[in-house]
Amino acid sequence: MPTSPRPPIGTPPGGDGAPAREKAGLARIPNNLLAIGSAAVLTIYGAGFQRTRAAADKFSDEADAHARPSSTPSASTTVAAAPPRRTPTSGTGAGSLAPAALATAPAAPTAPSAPAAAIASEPNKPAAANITNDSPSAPSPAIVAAPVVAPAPVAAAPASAPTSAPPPPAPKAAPAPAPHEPERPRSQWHDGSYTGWGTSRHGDIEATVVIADGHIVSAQISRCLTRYSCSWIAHLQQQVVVRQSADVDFVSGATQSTNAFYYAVVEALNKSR
Amino acid sequence: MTAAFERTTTAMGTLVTVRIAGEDAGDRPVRAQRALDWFSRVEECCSRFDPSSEIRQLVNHVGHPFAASEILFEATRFAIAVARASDGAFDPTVGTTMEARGFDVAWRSGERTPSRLPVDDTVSWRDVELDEDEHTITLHRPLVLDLGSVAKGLAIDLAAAELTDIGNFAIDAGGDLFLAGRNMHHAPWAVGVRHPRDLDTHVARLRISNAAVCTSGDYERPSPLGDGHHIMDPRVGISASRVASVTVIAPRALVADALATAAFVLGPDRGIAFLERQRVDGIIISPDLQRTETPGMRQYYDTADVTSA
Repeated sequence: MPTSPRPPIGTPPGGDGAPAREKAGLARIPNNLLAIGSAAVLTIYGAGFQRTRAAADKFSDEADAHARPSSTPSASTTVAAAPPRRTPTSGTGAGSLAPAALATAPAAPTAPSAPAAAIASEPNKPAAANITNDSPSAPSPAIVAAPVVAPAPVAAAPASAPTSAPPPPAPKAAPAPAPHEPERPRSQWHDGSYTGWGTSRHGDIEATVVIADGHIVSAQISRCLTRYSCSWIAHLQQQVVVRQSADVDFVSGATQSTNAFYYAVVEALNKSR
Repeated sequence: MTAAFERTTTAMGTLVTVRIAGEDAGDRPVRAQRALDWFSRVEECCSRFDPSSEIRQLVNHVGHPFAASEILFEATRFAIAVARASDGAFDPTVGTTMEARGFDVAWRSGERTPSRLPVDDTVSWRDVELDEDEHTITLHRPLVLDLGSVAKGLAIDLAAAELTDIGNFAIDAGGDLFLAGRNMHHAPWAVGVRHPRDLDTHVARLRISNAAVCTSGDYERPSPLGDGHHIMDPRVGISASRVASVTVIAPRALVADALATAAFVLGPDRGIAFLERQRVDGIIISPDLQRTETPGMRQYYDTADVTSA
């Protein structure tokens, strides 16, 4: 059991309560959520290491695998074990918690203390700068084009999917750790026009993707067999192309729902390899 | 110049990309895949849309302690902590309300997978009890946990932990980002913050190194029923409407993700105050495109951007 210094969370209903006064408490423990969040990540990561390690050992020493004491690998070491694979859902029914229970036992001894230290050293901004609410969001046109090396095409190889299987990728089939495909050159797509289908509960969508000079120049909904108009996803067509733009490395908020359109685009792109 | 290696997969209803800019030790495909594997692991535990997921199994154990995996336990623990800190503006117990609003469709199959629990607007995070010693979760009332605002960030952080030693990499899970080290130009990663209404432009250009950037926007997932979007105000059971988008920068993606959601519900003023209290930085843009931000945001703006603005 983790001998963790974490503050108690999730008290029983009607427990120590007083959430209305919570803010005062937070003021005293400023990094509360950061610390808890970091602890969560490191605990899970550490446990994951344990589990994959145990799974690997099982092959050679099945009897001993479970009883293995938690010889704690540092969470920062390179994990070189088998692909992480959880099994909580593979069991059936409600009671199948063997893996979870197993994992609980050696719960990441390193984690609890480490995160606290780690978080303490996080550079927390002085927040001292003048408060200048910039003029109401004049959208900066972001023209500066320091071209990113790889114009990051949407949906590079959905590599976890078995070769050539078009997405919708095989559900949760364990992705083999190393498909060992050769690293693809910059331009992974051949020029041309490709179509792919995607399915949603509303119906099917066909996307046509045009590649020129190795880049996506357009991605269009070419057939819309949904019960409703495809207009609500029309803007996604532009997103596929825009995301290649080189003025930034990434865009925060660029949510791309993996809906039928994206399935269709990914399928089309797979054909263009 | 070292070429970047990039691998993309689909998970959690979006596209997830790992880009490695660091030196190529020959194992980048394997490392990237291992990082991506965390997304399916977290999803298996935390997906509200998969009737066989651990989080859905919880529903069958109302009133009894449920022995949870690390992933589910820690994700829930964190979600409850955020609920408490935000006074319920963030609340992971909105599962049935979300279902009732049409968010019950598994993204992979397109199938509807509702829990069939009745909607009960009176359940809250206080109905969830965590036992630190036994590692159990007890739901004291019938409810469905929705860890949508935590799970993706958590998976990003776990993927990042997997790549720590590589140093220079980025993870993009549908616009929620973790940027480590430097990009291919040996500069901090350039991150655009999407304009919530003009989706092809950015409201800001940031330079980020070793931090997560997450944005919650009302444009992301419109309700299938046509009444609002996916960010609910748990206190009233309808879409929060005082904010168009929130962007949060934090050392961890699960923190950035969850706090962005909380700030979205709290609204511009209380939201910014909340972010400051949690020692993270952020920008809140209202539906009329007023922009409010924490003082610390300035350190992230791309200087090229500032001078030209």
